[in-house]
Amino acid sequence: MSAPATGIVSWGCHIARHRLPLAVLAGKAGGHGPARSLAWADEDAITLAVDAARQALAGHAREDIGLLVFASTTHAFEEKQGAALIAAVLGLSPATRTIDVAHSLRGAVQALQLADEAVRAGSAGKALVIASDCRMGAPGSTLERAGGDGAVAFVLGSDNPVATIIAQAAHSEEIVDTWRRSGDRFVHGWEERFTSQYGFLEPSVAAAARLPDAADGTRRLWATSAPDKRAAGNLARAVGAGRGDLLTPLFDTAGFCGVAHAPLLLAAALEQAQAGDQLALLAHGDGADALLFAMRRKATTTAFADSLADGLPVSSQAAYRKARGLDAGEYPPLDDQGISATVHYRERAEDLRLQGQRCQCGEAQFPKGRVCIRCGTKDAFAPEDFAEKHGRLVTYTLDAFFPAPNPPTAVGIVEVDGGPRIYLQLAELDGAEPQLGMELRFVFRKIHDVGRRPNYFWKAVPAGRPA
Amino acid sequence: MSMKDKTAIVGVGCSQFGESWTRGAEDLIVEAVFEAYADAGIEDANRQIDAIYCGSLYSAMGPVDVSEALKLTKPVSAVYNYCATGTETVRAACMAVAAGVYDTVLAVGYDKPKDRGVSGPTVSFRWVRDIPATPAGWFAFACAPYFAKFGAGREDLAKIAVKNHHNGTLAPKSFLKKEITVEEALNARMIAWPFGLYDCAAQTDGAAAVIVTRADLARNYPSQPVFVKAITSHCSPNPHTDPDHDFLRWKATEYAARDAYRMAGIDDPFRQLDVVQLHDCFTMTELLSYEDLGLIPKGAAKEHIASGTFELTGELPVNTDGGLKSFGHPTGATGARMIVENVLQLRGQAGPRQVKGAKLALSHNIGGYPTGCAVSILGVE
Repeated sequence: MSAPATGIVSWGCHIARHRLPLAVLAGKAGGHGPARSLAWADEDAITLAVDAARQALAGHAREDIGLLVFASTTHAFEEKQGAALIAAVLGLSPATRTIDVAHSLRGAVQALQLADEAVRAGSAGKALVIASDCRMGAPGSTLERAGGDGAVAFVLGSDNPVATIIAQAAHSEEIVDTWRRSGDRFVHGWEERFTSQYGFLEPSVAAAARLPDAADGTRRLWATSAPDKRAAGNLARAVGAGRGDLLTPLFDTAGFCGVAHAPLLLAAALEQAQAGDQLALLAHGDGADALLFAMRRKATTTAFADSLADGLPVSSQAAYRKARGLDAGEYPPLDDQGISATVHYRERAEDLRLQGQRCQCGEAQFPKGRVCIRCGTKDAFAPEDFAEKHGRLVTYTLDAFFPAPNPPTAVGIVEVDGGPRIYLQLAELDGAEPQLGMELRFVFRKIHDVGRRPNYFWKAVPAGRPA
Repeated sequence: MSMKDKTAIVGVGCSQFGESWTRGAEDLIVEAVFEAYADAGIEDANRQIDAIYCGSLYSAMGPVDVSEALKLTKPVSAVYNYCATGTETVRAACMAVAAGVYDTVLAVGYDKPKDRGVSGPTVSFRWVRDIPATPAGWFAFACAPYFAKFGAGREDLAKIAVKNHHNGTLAPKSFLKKEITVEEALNARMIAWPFGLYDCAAQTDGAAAVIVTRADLARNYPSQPVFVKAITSHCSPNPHTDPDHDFLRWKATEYAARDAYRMAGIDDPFRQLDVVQLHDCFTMTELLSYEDLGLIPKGAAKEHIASGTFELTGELPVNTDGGLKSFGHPTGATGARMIVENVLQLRGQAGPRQVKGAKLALSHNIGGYPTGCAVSILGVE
């Protein structure tokens, strides 16, 4: 008992801001009815993950992160690591262990358990765990209506954790209930009455049964992967959850967020639980995994609540279809080699971290060059990352030609505070006109799909909204 | 070294500008160059032309486009500087003659964008950060800061489009021969705010040719010689990353104009120049160029647009043939086309758009982000 307690010390949430009212999805006018969260054309599991991770890392020295585990079922590549990309974007140490977890909706629970074990064992001082998913339901499917896109990130460490893991349980099961073959775009599922009972409920109950019972008077909140309200009700009854103790705030607001769903609810539970409460994290997928946390102190973070509340309604079915690429174009996307791998490699710090440089004369530059625009000196630069700084809009236009779900696309020159000017797209203006001098911050986004690969860069968004 | 009065233009030609669906680059080049041959009285080009400079952005084969079209086997070189390519091509020809390397040189600017293998404007990505704003997007960056500082707006830009559309109706080889109204310009579909369709030049096919010779040989040719008083080029930092740029001007124009006036010995361009062809790729580019060329003070464009200073009947007519806006903009040809128009104006051969008694004429090309500018000043003694 002499070792310091380890556990979750901070977290961040990014539920995709665009919210598609199910009425709009059905081709009707919007309104205040049920909606789902929707990754926009410039977002994917990586960009949502980066947003959540930047929140979770606030206040942490990034070089202290010894392990990054990235869980998703919607990795952009079958071969090529997502965690290494995210580590580069976040500017983690090259010595950081990076691990992808894939293929199953219970991957995030496994990622948390793996990270917690590493921190307990001392092999990582702090660990960053990210769960992020953008699963595609086929047009007309239940998943299209009930699915959602989101990410959540946790930092695990020993610095006065909010919650610690006190028990774990696993139940492995082979079942063909929900799957996506290599190369498939949409998730397939068998009949819902079968998948709900044998894919979700029975393995979840089996794993939960292996957790220790709560002592009398101890409240236990449940963060689970129940895919809908009925399944949640069935599980609540089966595990004896108290009324309201099995959390369901994502249904009808953000939807079922895949591998991020249960851990997003864990963040919700962390934000409402009191010291002494227990939190059960339970996710299914070819079986089920469970982690039981004890709340050590009341948290003040409101990342989950803020992200859930920060929604932007999608106004038309056509915009949704364009954002998801559901409509055929005149020509299929060019399946060429895309941008040279050598260019990607040389420019990775600029593209991924918004890294420029500062000359010994004080002038900042982006992108990097060899000769200073101010003093003409060659190679007298120190690299400098600008992604976490704010900037001001110098000028802009609204480009009607850039291929976007809802043109025009705002493009501008942004002057980083104390830094260089950068030519960037503006995002998340939510229909407002850009204003000269407006304060902006930077977000990591998918900029285009040349070579049928995601190509990532930064955009500027109004600084006013919470990160 | 000053280029003043070292070279003269003795022959000009221009193809019909437009969407030449049924004609190729060869047809356009031959049309323009043989008109220039006739203008200069050249009957045996392989004997009378010493070298060729050609300018094109979308060339299929490079300089061979021109030598094969003309069957003119002479030293042939390609010149390229974005949308300033046309003027740069003539500048290269003038420098070669002024240097004494050649006596008589043919400069050909041409482009055939309708044969590029794409249907309509394209959006292509070459780099991760290559946010494919159209040129409209780059040139629009001057608008919001200028509007905020000097109170101009879309209506002022629209009046420029109306003027150039009118002038275009008076030029036989122009693409658009259609008068428009301010309301039509304001209500057209948006391209890149604040530019609507009528704020943008018409990209067309076309070719223009200029024959340059030594000043002391000019009177051997049949047409009234037009002397090159200055022809300059200047580069400016990329405005996207220039830490000092105020987006109230395009610096390259200021630099190239300053050099041209010094070379030509001009100290009051508004009073001394009689006619100006400037690079109206977008209406705002024309507005800024009035000021960047030093014709009027910075910020004064709005009042001069309102009073008609730059209309055909005004104090200093600008873009007498309709400009890029309505004559058309085959990129590599445009600067050469402007020089053709200025030569016609200086000879008194510009028909219904003639500026009476024109003695000194300026032309101006700007290209890149914009980053490059070329200026010519021509005069008749």
